[in-house]
Amino acid sequence: MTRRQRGGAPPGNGSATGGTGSRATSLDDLNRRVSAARREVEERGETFYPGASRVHLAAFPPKERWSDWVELDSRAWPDRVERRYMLVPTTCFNCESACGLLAYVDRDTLEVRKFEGNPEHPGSRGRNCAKGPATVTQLTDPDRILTPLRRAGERGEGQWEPVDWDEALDDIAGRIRAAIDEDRHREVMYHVGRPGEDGFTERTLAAWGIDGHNSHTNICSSGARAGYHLWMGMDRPSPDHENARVILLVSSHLEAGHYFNPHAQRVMEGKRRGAKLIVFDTRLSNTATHADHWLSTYPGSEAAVLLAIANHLIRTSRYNAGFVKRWWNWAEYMAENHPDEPSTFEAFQGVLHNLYEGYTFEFAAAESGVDAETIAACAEIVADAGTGLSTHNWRSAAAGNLGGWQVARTLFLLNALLGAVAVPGGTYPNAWNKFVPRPIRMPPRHPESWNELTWPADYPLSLMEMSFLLPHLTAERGGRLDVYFTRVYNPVWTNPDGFSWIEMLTDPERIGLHVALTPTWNETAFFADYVLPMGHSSERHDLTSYEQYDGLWIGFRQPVLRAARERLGEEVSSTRDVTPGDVWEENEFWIELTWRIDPDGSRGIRRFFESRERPGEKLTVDEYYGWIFENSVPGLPERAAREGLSPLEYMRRYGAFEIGAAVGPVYEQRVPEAELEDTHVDVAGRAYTRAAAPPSPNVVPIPPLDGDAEGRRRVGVAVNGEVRRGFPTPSGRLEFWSRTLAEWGWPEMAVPAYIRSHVHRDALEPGQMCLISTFRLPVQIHTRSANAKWLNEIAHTNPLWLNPVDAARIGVGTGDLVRVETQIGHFVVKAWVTEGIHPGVVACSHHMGRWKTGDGPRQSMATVSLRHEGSGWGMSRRKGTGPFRSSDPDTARIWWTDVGVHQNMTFPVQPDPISGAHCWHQAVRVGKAAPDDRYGDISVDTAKSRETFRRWLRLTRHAARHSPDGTRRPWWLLRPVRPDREAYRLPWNSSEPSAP
Amino acid sequence: MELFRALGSLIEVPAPEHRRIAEALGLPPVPDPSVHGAVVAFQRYPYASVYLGAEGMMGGEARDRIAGFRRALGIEDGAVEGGSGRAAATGEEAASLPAEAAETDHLASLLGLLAEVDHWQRDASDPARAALLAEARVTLLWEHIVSWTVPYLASFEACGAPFYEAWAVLLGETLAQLAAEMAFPGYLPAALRTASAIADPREEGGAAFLASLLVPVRSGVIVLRDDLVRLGGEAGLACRAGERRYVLGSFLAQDPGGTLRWLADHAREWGARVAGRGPAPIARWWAGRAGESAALLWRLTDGADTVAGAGRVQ
Repeated sequence: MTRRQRGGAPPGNGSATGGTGSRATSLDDLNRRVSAARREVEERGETFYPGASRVHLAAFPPKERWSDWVELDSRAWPDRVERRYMLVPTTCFNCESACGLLAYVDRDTLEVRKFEGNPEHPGSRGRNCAKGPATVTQLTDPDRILTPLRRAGERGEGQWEPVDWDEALDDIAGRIRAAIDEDRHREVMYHVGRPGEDGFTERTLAAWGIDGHNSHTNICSSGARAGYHLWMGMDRPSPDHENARVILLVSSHLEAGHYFNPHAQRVMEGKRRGAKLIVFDTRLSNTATHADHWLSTYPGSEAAVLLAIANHLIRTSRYNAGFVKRWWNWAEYMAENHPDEPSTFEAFQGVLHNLYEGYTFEFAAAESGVDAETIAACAEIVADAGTGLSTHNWRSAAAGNLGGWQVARTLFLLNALLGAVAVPGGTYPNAWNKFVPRPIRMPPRHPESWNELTWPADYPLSLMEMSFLLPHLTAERGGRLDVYFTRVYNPVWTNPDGFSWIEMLTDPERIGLHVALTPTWNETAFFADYVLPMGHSSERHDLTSYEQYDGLWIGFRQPVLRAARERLGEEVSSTRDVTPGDVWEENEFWIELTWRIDPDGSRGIRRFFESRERPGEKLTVDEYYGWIFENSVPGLPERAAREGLSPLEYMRRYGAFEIGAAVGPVYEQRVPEAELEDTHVDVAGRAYTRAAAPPSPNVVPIPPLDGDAEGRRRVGVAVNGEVRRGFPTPSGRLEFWSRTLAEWGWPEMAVPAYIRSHVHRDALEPGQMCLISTFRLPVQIHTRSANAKWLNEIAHTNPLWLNPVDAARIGVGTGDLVRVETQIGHFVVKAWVTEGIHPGVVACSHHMGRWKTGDGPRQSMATVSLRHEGSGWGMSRRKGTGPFRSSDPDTARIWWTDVGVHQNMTFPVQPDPISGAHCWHQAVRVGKAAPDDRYGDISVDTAKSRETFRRWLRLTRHAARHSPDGTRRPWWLLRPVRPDREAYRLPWNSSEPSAP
Repeated sequence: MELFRALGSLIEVPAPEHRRIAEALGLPPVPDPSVHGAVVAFQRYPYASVYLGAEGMMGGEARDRIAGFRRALGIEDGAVEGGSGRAAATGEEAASLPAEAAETDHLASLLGLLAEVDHWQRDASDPARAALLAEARVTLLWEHIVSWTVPYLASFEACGAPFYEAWAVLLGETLAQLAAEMAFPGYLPAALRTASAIADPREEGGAAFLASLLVPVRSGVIVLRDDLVRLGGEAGLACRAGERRYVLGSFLAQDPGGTLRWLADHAREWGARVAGRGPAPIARWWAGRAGESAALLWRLTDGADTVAGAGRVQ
């Protein structure tokens, strides 16, 4: 019963506005006055309601005050000292998320005092993890490299001399020019760790005409990306966590590394809206602690569990049959694999049922160690997700296991079954949530040669370059690199088998000139010929765009002091004028280097780096980005004009721009009539047209799909009589069955399946355990943490996670030294006994164990001795870190000595024969340390590394024997720099005796 | 009414932008952030859960109730279907509010939501949805705003900051006017209905008594840091540096009788202060609860030593 009554009582005493006789009128008047004042302010583009009123207590400085922002100096407390700042946006460079930062530039000293989040950034929305604000400690690190250096003694000896940029550039350019002139294009290689940009370097290499791009990706995300690529033609997932009903993550990295911040904040928003979170992780990771269901799966069993869930959806008819019928390439699968069955969807449903019926909850439980009831409960939750299932796998299981790419493929199978593909709450393909603006003077040419060192025909389906095999391939196949750039990359330390890298880098027959482009000293730079200092995130130009929600945005990384000085009316022609010491930024470096490679333009290279505005002069970064923002970013010129700014000025002021949101299911879009001319639809439903493709300002990588025999181009796929965009796959649909896999030698892998890992229990010898090394602490950066004092203070060790059951068996407790024996050697580390790890599995975080033999960063590197005899290598720690006096008083307060142990050195290369990804998990033996073992000891036999390389090589199916069309690699697969099509042709005929 | 949003924004840390809002409202000049710190951030926490929660702290059930209300309104679950009866707000409306809801019970959030709901209701073309929104507006105002702003705004009286004194009066009047136009349910807000009184130290022990004294919804009284300083001065007690519970515990240890008498007087005065403010049932409840507390405190002055050790760490 609700009894109603009037609730009013006389107002309290007093009146804010003088006590008018008619308060009702007064309040209405006040309301009108407030609204009018707001309209007037907002029409000027200014902020009326600051901070909390706009974004719930997440207060940011209103953007109209970014040029003169006043804050009290916290260090001056309790005195009230005001500091005036200019807030200049840039983009974080400490992982690949590209979150927005605001640099607080002191207006009096023009120094960067701190970094906070940029509220104008659509991906990160003003929020950052610890790595963003820690950028300031990287800028002020007393050990940072401030001047170009040239090796003075032998490689690796640690002797350096300063060199001026002109001299270094002339030397490097001369060698590259000679390589190009002498048709030794293969001898120039650029090897990148943290790209942090979209397209600038690929454009540079394409202009040079070399197939020399090499990335770290095959030790990182390429396993998962191969799985996604085979399904939908695009290689990354863009999950809409925020709107999901169920979030399923096969990754600890979501909250500890890649896309950590932009995804994590949306995961939490999704949870707050009621979404269930399911996490597969052998360890109790940060992500797992937030889960409704944490499945501590035995490493490598993830696909078995995912297929059990898929089987549940199929068996209970809880999948989206309409979507499957409409968008899967089931008809192609049936025709090729079940020619005797009727080619009907109903027949396919029967086949699908039979295909996965063996993946019961009990089978998955036996493989994973997770009880069947828990798996069944998760399957029910997934079954109820409808199209609101967002899933994500980046590294984790996909990067750890033989067949890891099937983890992503079986994970996406759930999305494909539910129709949770590019719809709210589902998972989108990255290319539809990413915008790479077309640059000025896009080189139309492709390298004419194929680089066998990065794309060996043993791995024709490798998603990315076989970068981590470089030491073995150069040694076994006689490859030589005359100019080898490592760019913000540290393979000696980051890659497996680091001693083989040292052997290669110190061999002048294999490496002619090694140029390390890095803002920070690292283990690889110690073995360089030139160390050229590049800028940190607030000292360089880059464009970024990443799949973080269903939207398209670009982020602009810029040298903030350059932007600050320009705001003050100064003209800055070279970023070197505003960076510390002789630090440079890369864009200008590559432009300058290119001009020196082709000084008179006769090689046809220089033209791509010439100004349009001033023919014959060098392209400047202002013109490069100004042109892009003016011509290739829809809506930006108009938005900028509304504020009276040029597009470049707008981006320098705000740092990011959202081109559009709610992109939706592109595959369902009808192809407009204007694009349908003399259309032909083949028997598989693929539609071809003679109409030219409309020019697109977005050059995000999309697979090139062949046209028909009569010269039409692919335009889409016919669905129920209408031509839709479809997916950029050979079939135009989601590829449940991959013709590519089937035709290139892997027919048994052509549908989503479970591959038993190399660390499966049955594959381990008695006494062996699985070691997980694919995780990291969320505050660490791959290499550049070495000079981030705040981050080092938070996390500076990597003990071995050991379940109490295993610890008792071995007879060790927390803090005791243990020896971990791999196939090629061992390392000695401290134990950490915890129930947060699956029994029978041990785990050790990477991003730890930095070392130096002599001078180098003092905050986080141990000083070690290296021993080398034949193929035997050893490392022992002479001392850890400790306090020291420097320009930064904080370095005298370093209280820790531990820096962790460099485990990666003791890992052999283990390339997956299909995806090419390194399979990180290790079969190891863990025991008490020997009496003379010391913390941090490492021992490796590189001859055993080579044996392991050869053993895994035998798993491959070489293109010469399995290519269906005489090429090295399927044309449609993505490739960072795509050579001319003729270069795709195999140099061998499989029938020739010399064929591999 | 946008007026609510504007008034809500003024309880945030002052920024230069607030000057324009204050001018539009005819309020005195916006003070320095340090004044906000002294008057609001360290004394008068603008969170409903502090005044309605059983522990007198931020978060907990009181905040959950508001989060639940937002979900019922269709703001939080992301599955808004306007007009369906499932949710009052349409997807577009819900999208106009920030997704981040960690501070749902902040006064600025609540008043911003009130302004939005008011706006949606006025714009609703579907009578059924308009009725639903009207109901939501009543619930929001009754259960989550005036249920605690009655004593909260009273705490600004003579706070020494002209801006905040005037702001509290204006907001009180504005809410009272809105309340006068609404038909409220015949029962008290849930937080008030279910709140127990202060703990009797003779039955529940000194620590429970001390803790409950500082919980507004249990004692009916808001005890500020400034009040404790005043207590110390007037009773001649040494005011120890620490949080309120610690300070009050030390007063009880020094002079239990004097402290209880002072608290009883304070509760009686407080009851009188809130009696005439806001919707009558709510004002009566707060005044009544303060009166009950005053009576118990007076009774406890006989045998006051029972509370002398209330602040002692167990």
